Amino acid sequence: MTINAAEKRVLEQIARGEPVGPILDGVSRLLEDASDNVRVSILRLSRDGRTVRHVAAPSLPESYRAVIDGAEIGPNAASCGTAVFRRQRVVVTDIATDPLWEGFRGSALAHGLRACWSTPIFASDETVLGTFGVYALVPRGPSPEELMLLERCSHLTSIAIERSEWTEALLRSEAYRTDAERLSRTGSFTFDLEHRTLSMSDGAREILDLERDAALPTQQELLERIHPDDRSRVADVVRRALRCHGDFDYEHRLCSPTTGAVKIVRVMGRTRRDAAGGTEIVGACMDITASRRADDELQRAQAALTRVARVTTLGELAASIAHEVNQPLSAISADARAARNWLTSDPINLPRALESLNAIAEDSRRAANVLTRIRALLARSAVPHRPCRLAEVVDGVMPFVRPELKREGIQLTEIVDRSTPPIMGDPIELQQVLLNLILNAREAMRGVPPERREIVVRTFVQREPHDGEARPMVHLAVEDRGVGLEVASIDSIFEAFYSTKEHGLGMGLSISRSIIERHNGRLWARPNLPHGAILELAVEAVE
Amino acid sequence: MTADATPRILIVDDDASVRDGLRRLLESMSYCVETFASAHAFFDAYTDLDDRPSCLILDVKLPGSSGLEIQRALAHRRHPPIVFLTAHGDIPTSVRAIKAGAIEFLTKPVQGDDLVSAIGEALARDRVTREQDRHRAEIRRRYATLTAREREVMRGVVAGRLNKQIAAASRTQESTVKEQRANVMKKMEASSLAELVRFSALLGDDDDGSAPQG
Repeated sequence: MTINAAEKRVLEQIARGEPVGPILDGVSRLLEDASDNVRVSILRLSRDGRTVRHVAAPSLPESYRAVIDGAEIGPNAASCGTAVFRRQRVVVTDIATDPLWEGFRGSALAHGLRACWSTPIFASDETVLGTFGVYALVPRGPSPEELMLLERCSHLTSIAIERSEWTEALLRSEAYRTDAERLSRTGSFTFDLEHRTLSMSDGAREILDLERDAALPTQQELLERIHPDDRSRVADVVRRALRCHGDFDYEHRLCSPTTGAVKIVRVMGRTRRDAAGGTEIVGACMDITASRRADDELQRAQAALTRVARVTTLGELAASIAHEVNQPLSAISADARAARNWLTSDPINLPRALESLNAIAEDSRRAANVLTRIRALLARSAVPHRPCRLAEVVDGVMPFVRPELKREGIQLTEIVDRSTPPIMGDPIELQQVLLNLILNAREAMRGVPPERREIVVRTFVQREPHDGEARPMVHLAVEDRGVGLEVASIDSIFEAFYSTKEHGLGMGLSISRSIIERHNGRLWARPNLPHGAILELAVEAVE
Repeated sequence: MTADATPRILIVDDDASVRDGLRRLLESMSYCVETFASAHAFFDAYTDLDDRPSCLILDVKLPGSSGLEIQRALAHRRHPPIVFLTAHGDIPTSVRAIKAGAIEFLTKPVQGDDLVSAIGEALARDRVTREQDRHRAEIRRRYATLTAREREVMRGVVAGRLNKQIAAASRTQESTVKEQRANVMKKMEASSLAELVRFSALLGDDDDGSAPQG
């Protein structure tokens, strides 16, 4: 085989991506076969650029290779270490006498190695990858043909090493990506629209429950994996993305054809022109089943907390309620004793006894009313929604909050439109919402000047466009002149556990909003100029 | 002595039915009752010159200033004993009220018996206080009749000095001191040395020679 043919064969091996070890052995043999009594040694420079190690030396004994492996490069480091250091070819015609070989002379001579010429292997970016060395078994220098061949082999070696390392880096990055995809339950894919070809990462295969080596599914098979209820929607989104060349982002369910298990997948992607001018879709998909499940758990936990907070809200009011009941009871107790005193006095004072008995009757009624209102507030709210009026809701709450607010110097103004149409709802739940909003307004007015301590409760009707027609919405607004809202926090006040109160659970407004949402209504906040906030809800009126 | 005058009960509560219920109860017990809806109304009408035995009933939670604030405002002047009413038992508040001299801290709904006995205790304490005030005023009146020399002798006698010693200190005859001493006992209406010492204690630091108001 000629040198050219041998060289061509090595290049073919490199192009095919064959393992680098055997290729370099082949290059070594190519050179050894072309000369008499020479031994090739290919050394790779370490990553830190300080030592060298054999990557191929098929004809050198292991005992000698071991001496050189790990040797440091330098100005006096035999032929090879010096060639790397100098970045140029080094020719030593007699190892026995050349000062460059001081450190390795004994080992070389013991193995019958008498001369050595070595040339650096340069990468395409001119960095030194290692050296290509040739030992002769007699003291001599290289012939011009030998030097030429040395340079050609060194170049081949450079190509082989670089190619192999690129491949390795690519595989490594691919492995990282696969790991990252597996950890994040994501995958990526491309779809070439010109050729209707699909490719996808291992992560995408896992999401689709495809075996690693299984054939890629056809478009039809892919569509069949999408949950039947989601198919037309997904097809729509994809069609739109293709037409507009835009981004898309949607969620759908995937059904495993083998187990029937359902996954929730989020798919994001964009259509773009590829290098060849064709159109392709690149995208990523994410298995969000677990996080969606966690969301559901959170919702359940929140529902449980709603019940807790309902009790807490009542607890906050318990003191006020106790006060409301205690007042008439105190009066009753005093009047009972007074009546007894007048009836047992001498002479009996009937008019004054009667006065006290009448007061007892009046105060008993007052206490009973308080208890009736508490019972209504405590009643379980599993009742189905029924037509009710927001004015009645306001009436049910005012007696609870008015005395407490009065005590704190807060004026409570009602601007209630009693002619508003009814809404469908649970009056008790709506009372709880109003209660929360008023307590909230009260909280916001702690520490504001007395002239600003006013809460306005307002109900009114507004016609709002809804699905193309104007529908009457009944509004309930609670306005305060308190510390107001930061624009940045205007939405977070509705989040669970958001609280500006030192002892607040932060549940009140979150629960209120979820109650109003169950009424198909909206609850929102806006600033009340110049001071304070308005919390407003709107629920659709019943025709 | 006016101890048998009809005792006066002052009630400050913002709840009309409590206020009126208590008024009717206390009137049925022959007390003279005055009611106020706020601290403000109370201070407008209050005077400490009334010499009837009195008791002040305060609701802790009042609009404007609280019952405790009324107690604080009264602290530096003569005022009737205070009974507090509260809607819910607030221990720290009641401790503060009692420490500041309140008679009782009653939780609503107030039981008639508790209120009656608290009022009884308050009036009894007020009677004692008023009696002591009157007694102190009487002693001061008597003291004011002493001459400067007699006051000096009284100081010596109360300090436990013998007539001989007092005479030596003031370079007078022992017999003169004896005479002045008899005058002191007579003017102070003291039947024994022990009683004179007690009167002297009641006079406190006012023993500056000036004639106190009688």
